[in-house]
Amino acid sequence: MRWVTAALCAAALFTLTGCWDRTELEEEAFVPSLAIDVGPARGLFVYTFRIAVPRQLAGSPTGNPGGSGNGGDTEKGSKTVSVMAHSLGEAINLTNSTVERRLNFVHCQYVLFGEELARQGVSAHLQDLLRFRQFRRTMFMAVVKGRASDSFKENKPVLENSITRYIEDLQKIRDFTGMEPIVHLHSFVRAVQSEVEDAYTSVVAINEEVKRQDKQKEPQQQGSKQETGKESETSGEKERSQQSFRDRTVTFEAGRMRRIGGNPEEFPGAAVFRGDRLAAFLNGEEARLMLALRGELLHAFLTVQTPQGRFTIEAREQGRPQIVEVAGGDRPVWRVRPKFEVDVVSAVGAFDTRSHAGLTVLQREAETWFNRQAEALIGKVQRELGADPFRFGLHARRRFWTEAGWKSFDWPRRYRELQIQVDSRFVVRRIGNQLVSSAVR
Amino acid sequence: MMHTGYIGTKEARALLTIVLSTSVSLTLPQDMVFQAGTAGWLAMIVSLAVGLAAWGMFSRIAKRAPGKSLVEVAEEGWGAAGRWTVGSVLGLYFLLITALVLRAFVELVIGTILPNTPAVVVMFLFMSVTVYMAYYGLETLSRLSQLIGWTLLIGLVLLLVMDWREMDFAYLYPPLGPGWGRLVEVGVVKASYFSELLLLGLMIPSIRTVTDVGRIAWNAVWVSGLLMVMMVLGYSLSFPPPAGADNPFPFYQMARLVYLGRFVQRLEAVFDLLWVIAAAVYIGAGIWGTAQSFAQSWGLPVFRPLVFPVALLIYGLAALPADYPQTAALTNDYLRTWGWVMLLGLPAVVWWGAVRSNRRQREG
Repeated sequence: MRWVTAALCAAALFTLTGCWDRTELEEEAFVPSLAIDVGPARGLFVYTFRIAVPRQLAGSPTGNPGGSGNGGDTEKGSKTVSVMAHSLGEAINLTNSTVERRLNFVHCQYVLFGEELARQGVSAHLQDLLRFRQFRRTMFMAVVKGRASDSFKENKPVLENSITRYIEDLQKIRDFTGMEPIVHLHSFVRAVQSEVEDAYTSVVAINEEVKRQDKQKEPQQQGSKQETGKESETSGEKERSQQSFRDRTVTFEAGRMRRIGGNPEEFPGAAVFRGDRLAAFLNGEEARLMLALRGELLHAFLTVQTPQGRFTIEAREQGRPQIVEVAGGDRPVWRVRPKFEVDVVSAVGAFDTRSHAGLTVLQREAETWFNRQAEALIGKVQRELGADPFRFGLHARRRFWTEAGWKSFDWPRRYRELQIQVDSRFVVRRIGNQLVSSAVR
Repeated sequence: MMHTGYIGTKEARALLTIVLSTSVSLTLPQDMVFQAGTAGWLAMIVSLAVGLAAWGMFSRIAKRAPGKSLVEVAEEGWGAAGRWTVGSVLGLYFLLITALVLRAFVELVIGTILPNTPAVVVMFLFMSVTVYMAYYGLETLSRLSQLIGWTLLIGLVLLLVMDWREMDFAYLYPPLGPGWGRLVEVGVVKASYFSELLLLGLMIPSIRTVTDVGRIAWNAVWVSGLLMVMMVLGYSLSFPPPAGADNPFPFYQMARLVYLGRFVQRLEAVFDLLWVIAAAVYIGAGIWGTAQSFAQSWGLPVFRPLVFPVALLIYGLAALPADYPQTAALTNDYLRTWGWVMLLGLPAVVWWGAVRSNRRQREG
């Protein structure tokens, strides 16, 4: 028996060291991100695969493998291929008829949907992603204003060379500003499938102005470098600067931010869905308010303009907002109470930050400002879009013991009739490095 | 029946707990969410109560006939026909359940990790290990279980902790889901997930301290029941219905959901290892249980000559379902719907026989 066991073990060395599913890294083409757009006819889609080129990523003069370098070089570390197909499977086959290595999606981290496709509905594509074993539910999602494939062409990160790192950085940004509510496929699908909440995801847009500036800048930079060996501000740049800042409003809308330089791609705001269809875009400020009403605003700088001046607070939300019913019957009224702990990081104007009474005034100002903005957002999303990305439906369901009771409640109709008030609470904990807001002369 | 070895209380408890709770890594969470929606975990608590009722019967049987297996007790109560019937029914039940669980695991492996490997190869490799364990008997199986029991327990709890970010208690409402009536109905029917407790009926003669049988069953039912409730609860919180009812591999999907930042993610390989080990113990115990039932039923002194034929039968039966949906349907709609009849019915018949036999002895 001992000899038989030994022989079996020896035989196992030959049979178990390789298997039908062995893969060699050199035979794989890893796709870190994927974009899907509508095609020229119904049922046709354009799939764009960003294929990682590890050798170029590692060997790029500015970058280190997978890390950050001087930025803007994700194009060097990857190549994009777009194909028109009826389905993802067909697109993979077609792409692999021109890419010599087998496409592999186990490292896919980002799925982008084009705006038109999102408006038509993403259900079919979600089903593709959920069923195929190579895709993970932890992939990030976004909707691109315009065509999703443009995002791959125009994305020139300021710092990152690695596209995968860039994608994960966006999530950190969400936690920092609250204006880029990037979500995992899992959370998105969970909301799309649910009848009591609506899905949202982040937005990506190309700032055409910045893109144009970049295109103009390239030949000038080349000429300038040839002459002086370094970049210099030219009269052309000054002119562009004046053009960009001619408009006197600040906008948080993706694709329309007033800026010069940086990545042509920008990502403030959210795409709110009804069912599987895109209902509307929210700008960065609205997206932040939406997260706050959901109880998910981890950190944000909020600037409040008042007749006395302006002040900026660093806010951290404390748990999910409390929701109380203040009136029932035919005209139900709910009051949402988000709570924040804040540090004052700037106060320019006639503000008393030395006394508790003065800080209370500041708190009231912030609360009034927040309530007004949040109620306006709820009005827009609830009445105009009929969508519920705020999870009010989940709250309403808490009052029912059984599924049958909840079904008979007819939440979609009642949600439209519901009046929602916001009663936020800001508690100032710290005031920064100055006691008073005296003018610096 | 010859005794080939004895096992301790801890080892027996570990083996029984692993066998009972292996179903959490198969379709149990999805099945409960599908049947009872948001109240799946409450239905599981009802199942646990039914499992404890079955424990009550086992401990009574063990008290009436200390150190005797279910088949031997059946012989005392109902004669040779009772022994033959109970042994054969038990053997057939273990044969079916082991074949279906084997197939489900093979499909799970192919559907998630080894998509290009033929099912027969995965099945053969799985069987080679488990036949080896079953051949060496209860001592090997129970000691291995004792060795890996804590690892599996910690692994399962760790999975739930790591998925905490994806869990949301708002998804538990409405708490009674389809309502009290349906909840209790599902709870009783799905007590079938405890039907592997019957294995204890075959293990009794090998347990060194006969008086510990009741305690072993009590602990095994409680621990595995709590694990089942926790798993269904965790699954309902992260994959609420209707999404939760559409997931063929709930445990694997939960493992894939672990995302704790850039560095702590893609940990499913660790959890895959855990459920493969648990499955190996389960299949090994299933082969042993089937061989032991038939051996006791037919009055054979040892079970070992039956191990290879039984393994071959299991292999053949496991290959019969056409696809994964058929395997899942057979498991969920038949085995895990009517298994409670076995769980409560068989011990009840044996206990009744034992009571009759005792009465006859007193009168005679």
